[in-house]
Amino acid sequence: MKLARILLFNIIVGWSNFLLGAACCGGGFASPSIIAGDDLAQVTGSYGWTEVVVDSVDAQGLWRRGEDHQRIQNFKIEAAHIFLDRWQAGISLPVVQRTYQGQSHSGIGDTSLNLGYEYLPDWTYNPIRPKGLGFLQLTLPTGKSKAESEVGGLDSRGNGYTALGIGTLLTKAIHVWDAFLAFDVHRSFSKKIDRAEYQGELVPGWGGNLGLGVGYNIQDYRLGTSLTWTYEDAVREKGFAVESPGSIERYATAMASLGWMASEDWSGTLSVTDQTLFGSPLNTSLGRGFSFQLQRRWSR
Amino acid sequence: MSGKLAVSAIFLSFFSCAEPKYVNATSSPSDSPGTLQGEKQNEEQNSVLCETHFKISELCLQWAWEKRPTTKEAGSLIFKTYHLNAFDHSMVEVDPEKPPQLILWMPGMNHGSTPTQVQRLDVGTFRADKVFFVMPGAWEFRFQFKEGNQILDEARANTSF
Repeated sequence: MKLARILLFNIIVGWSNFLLGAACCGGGFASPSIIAGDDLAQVTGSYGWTEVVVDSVDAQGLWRRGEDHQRIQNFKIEAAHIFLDRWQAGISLPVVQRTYQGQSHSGIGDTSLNLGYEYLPDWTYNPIRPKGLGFLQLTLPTGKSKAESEVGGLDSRGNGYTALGIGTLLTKAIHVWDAFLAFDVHRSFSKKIDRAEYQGELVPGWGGNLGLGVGYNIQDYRLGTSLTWTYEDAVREKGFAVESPGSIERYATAMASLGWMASEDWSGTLSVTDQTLFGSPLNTSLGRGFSFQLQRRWSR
Repeated sequence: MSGKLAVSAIFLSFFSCAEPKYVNATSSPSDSPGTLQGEKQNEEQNSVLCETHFKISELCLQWAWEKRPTTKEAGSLIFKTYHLNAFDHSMVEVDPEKPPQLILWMPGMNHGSTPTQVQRLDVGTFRADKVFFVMPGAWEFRFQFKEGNQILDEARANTSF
């Protein structure tokens, strides 16, 4: 029983942790807060540190690296609660701080609200069938977007678009091994900006994440690794008398993690991430970093 | 057999390692001719081109670096607004109706940089100070005439840093 809880806990920690945004300016699609185990409620606090190591990868896939790099710190509180047996609701609230050349900017990032439903319950053991959770997610642009920034995106803390997404998380634990597959698609909505530095309309499109992860469990510890591919449609810009087509953004985030279940209710995870190792990134910046998560759960 | 091949192809395409194609880090913008010729030089002595122009007024624009920015320090550029002389296509500098502003914009990532400061030097001749790019990559100069926050006219030129 305890092992199963460790597996589920660590799987979900891996899933929520790897939905990192592009390192520079703004962030990716906010990750949903989901209870993957059999708990009634959970609260997760996390701290992440990322250094931008490739400042920009352009639309042709050319990598550029400057002398100084942005550093991003992320504090996030996530909470989720079960209601009506197989339904759950969650919220994720990040605080982001960026530092570059001695200047720091911080504030609230994009807030995410999600509604989940366990469509493949794990009530009876099956050697093949995974446990399946589906979710709807609403992202609110509570973080300043990079387009609204007057300091080159250094004070941006989110994508800045309202977005609606749907996704699924499939998990399976077999003996000491566990695995997950996570997938989501989302649609971001256009935004008009009227500020001193920029006036125009930004029209984003569809985006998505596909993540795969595996873990190996030893007593109360879990070693895990995962890889997530992120894609965003080009953001068209309706500027003054000109419409710019923009270009697509994509990158892959690799993660390795060590999880520890201190008790039935408490657990922690240390993770390292790298966006320079896999995939064929376009129109983004790439970072490396680490994060620590602490989670408290309440049983049903 | 074809199914295995398809699975293998998908696996390889997804899990293949990234291939970094680094562009040498530059400490200054890679284009810019150094003289006030905009991005393309004209071979004839007196006549000039009007490749960069404002959308509404069709006023021509040329720019050149006065001091190239680096990754640590802001630079400055000189730009001219002009009409072409109808007889020999020589440059006739004119002042626009509104004072121009310069916005630095990264079109790929949809964000700007720190604000610049524009100062009039002579008829149709301006200096933009505090030109600083927050990251390397492809950038756009957006020369604008504004009333409050409303853009009245705009000319764009590309640069790379």
